[in-house]
Amino acid sequence: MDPLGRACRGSLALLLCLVPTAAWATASTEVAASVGPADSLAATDPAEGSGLAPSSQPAWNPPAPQAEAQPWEQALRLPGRILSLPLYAIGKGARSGLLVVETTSLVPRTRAFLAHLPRVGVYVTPASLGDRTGLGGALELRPAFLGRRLGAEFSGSTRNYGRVHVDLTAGPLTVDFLSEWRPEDQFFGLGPDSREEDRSEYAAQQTRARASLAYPPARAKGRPPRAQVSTWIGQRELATRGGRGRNPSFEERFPSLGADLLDRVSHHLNYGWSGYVDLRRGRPHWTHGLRAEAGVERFDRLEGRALAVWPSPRPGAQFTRYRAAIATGFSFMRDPRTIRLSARATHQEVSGGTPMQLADLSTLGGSRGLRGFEPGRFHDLDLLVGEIAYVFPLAQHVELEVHGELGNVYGDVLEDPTWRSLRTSYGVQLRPRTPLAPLGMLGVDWSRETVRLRYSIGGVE
Amino acid sequence: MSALRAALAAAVTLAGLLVPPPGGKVAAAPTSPEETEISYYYDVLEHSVLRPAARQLDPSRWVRRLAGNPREAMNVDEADQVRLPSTWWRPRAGHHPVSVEQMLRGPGPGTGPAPGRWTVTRAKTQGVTPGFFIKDARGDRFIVKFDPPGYPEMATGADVVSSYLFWAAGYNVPDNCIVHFRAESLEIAPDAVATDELGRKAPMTPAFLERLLGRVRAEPDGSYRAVASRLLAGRPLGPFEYRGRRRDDPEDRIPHQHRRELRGLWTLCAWTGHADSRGPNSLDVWVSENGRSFVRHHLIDFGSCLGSGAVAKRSYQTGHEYFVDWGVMARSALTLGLVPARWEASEDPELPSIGFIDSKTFDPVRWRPDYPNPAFDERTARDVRWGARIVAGMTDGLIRAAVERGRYRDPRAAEYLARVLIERRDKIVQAWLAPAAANAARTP
Repeated sequence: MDPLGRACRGSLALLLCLVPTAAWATASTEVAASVGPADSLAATDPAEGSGLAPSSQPAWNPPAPQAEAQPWEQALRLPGRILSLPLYAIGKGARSGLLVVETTSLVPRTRAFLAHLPRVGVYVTPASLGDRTGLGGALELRPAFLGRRLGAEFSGSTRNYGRVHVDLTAGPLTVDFLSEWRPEDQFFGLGPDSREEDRSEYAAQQTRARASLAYPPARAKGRPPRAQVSTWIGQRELATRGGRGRNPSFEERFPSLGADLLDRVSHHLNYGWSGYVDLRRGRPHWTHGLRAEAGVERFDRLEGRALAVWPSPRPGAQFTRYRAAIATGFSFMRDPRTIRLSARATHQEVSGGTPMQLADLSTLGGSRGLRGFEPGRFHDLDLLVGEIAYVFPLAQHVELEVHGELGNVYGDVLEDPTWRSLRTSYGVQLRPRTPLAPLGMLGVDWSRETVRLRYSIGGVE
Repeated sequence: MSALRAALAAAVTLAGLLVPPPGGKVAAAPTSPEETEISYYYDVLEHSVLRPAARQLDPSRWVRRLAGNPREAMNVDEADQVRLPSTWWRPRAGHHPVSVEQMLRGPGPGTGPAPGRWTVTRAKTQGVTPGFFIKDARGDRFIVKFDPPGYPEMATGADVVSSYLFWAAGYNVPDNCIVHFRAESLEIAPDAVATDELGRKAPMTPAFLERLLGRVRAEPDGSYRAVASRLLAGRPLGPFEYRGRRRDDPEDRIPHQHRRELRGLWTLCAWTGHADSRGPNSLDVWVSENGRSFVRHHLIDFGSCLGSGAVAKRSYQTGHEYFVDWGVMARSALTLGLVPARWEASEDPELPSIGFIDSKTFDPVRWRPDYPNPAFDERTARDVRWGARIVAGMTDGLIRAAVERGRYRDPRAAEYLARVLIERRDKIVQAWLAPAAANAARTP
């Protein structure tokens, strides 16, 4: 061994000898102090012979109050105590604050208030406006005196995303109206090889009215049916505007696309059908079974016949969208460890010559798939994405999901995919849970381009 | 070397200045200490997150571990027994023979409120299980609590059975009793106050009482089963904490986490599955007896003992991990959850009046409450053995008599609970008091 290494080893050994010796010496004195009869006020129990009732004699005590720690312990703790003084102050504040919360019954009051709202038909929930939309909330009104057949939802977020949705349901028939404003969705270019440095933004403005028929009908605020088929017809207007965020607007980054799409308004007659069967089961998360979903919808161009809110001299593309998704899984052991597999594909056939609106393109990145990439990172007509996930318990109230995703967007999903074109993304999610369901998640996803922190309150399966 | 010695001496001197001087301010006259309050939320936050983090970062704790020299309880004598008298505990089972009759008379008469009409003085519908305060025909005061929906007899049975067991173990507990009553036997005191679900207080009305009883399960004959807990005599001072001292109590000179009675309570809690053993479930009372006024320390509210979780049955993980268990989480993450947890071998008796408690997966060495308790965290093998001696003193007769007081209608429930308690007792004795175990240098 070299001299330096020998010296280090010697010092470490000396330290290891000294510290326990000091601790032992101090501890020995404190034991002696605590068991020595000299310091006791009363070494025996005068009430000893008087039965088993609690004693009312003066309690045995040392002559003076005892410190919680020995001086040498206090000395060792001193640096930590000084460093943690701000935390100590925060703790004191939290303690007083929480005591006020309790004495004023704030939590039961809030809980009772929130529980009362649905009874009259008012729901306050986090908004589901998608990734990168800021903090958002939703207010839904579904009056109980109307049998919850009429509902209106208003969603908004700190990044100025907004949505209004009104629906009227009678058995299997639903008529609904939707108006949505998305001011800063991301766009990085078309195709599987778009570049991260081409980040830009666009705004999408959509208005839609439609009638749909579903069987079996879903109950308002109830569990969705295990299987359902639905069909619909309606009119939709979609406009692409310049991005309102901090990044360049898409027409600056992609001038030719901007010339075609900026302020273009598409009027479509939209109709189609979709169906799903959901045989997934299990608690606290779904542990086994299968969900399969398929749908076809057609977007026919409306020219001149449209009930246009925003008239447009340039009609948009007309196209048919096919989509399919499947998810399955199995689990093992008592507190379920679950392996899940899922795949999803979208194929769109354009029958008109004009370019499609950006919001009509298939998109990957963020919560739409390939979560380790920026939201809206990939845009094209079609997409293909698969995922494998493993969910396992960490403790009574927490479980962890690790997952990997593989996929990309394509001009034609039936022709273009190659193994080398696929992008990969990985992630972990910490999911607080009750015995019945996960409550939300806090996770991190990463890809070769970026690392993204994600969270959700509710909405976790 | 001398510089090092000087620095060490300076540090120790500085630390000494920061330590409260021994024999500092101690009230001379026996005046009642101030009433205290503990924030339930903060208690969970502190003991689940803040204190465990501080403990891990405490160098003195690591030095003690390295030296294999834990800090022992401060109030023990040469025989390693609690110095007496104590206002916390009194030697009973394990130290003296305790007969069934003594145990059943111990906490109080155990007869519940006197027959006749009960006058309701205060009530609340807040929380999952409602309850009210009554004054009986003799003028004795009780708090009346019910079972949670879906679990008849569970919380009330646990409250009564555990109060007897903890009394036999030596602790101060309230006098709890199962009662059955009819709505007609209640009358509302003129000045009765009701607290509703929103925490609002208002004069109590018959409609309020009807609504309250509408939230609890009625027996087929229209009566209601509840636990009547006799209010402790004296002036309530609020809960005690499992660390630090009540500084305005001249008899409270030993930091609670260094008291043998509280450290050794771990063994009793492990035995009875009292995972809810925390500060808020305790009560200090200023009592005057035999010409002397002093603070007596009580354990209260055993509705979350045995298999009862108060609002539902206990989870299978109870006793195996804390609500927030960093160690279990780290272990599971490193093994991807592929190593099965001990609790996963448990078998549910499917007895609603018991909830869930078992002996098969019970671990008498590594049992844990719902969240860390400062006194339990400081326990040493000597503290646990002290408690094990008490548990060993719980005879089958005492256990069966206490269980019988739970008034379980299903004989399978009473039999199961008694058997589980006996088997858990035997496991504790085997682990801590058997000759081989006693000689082993165990660290909990």
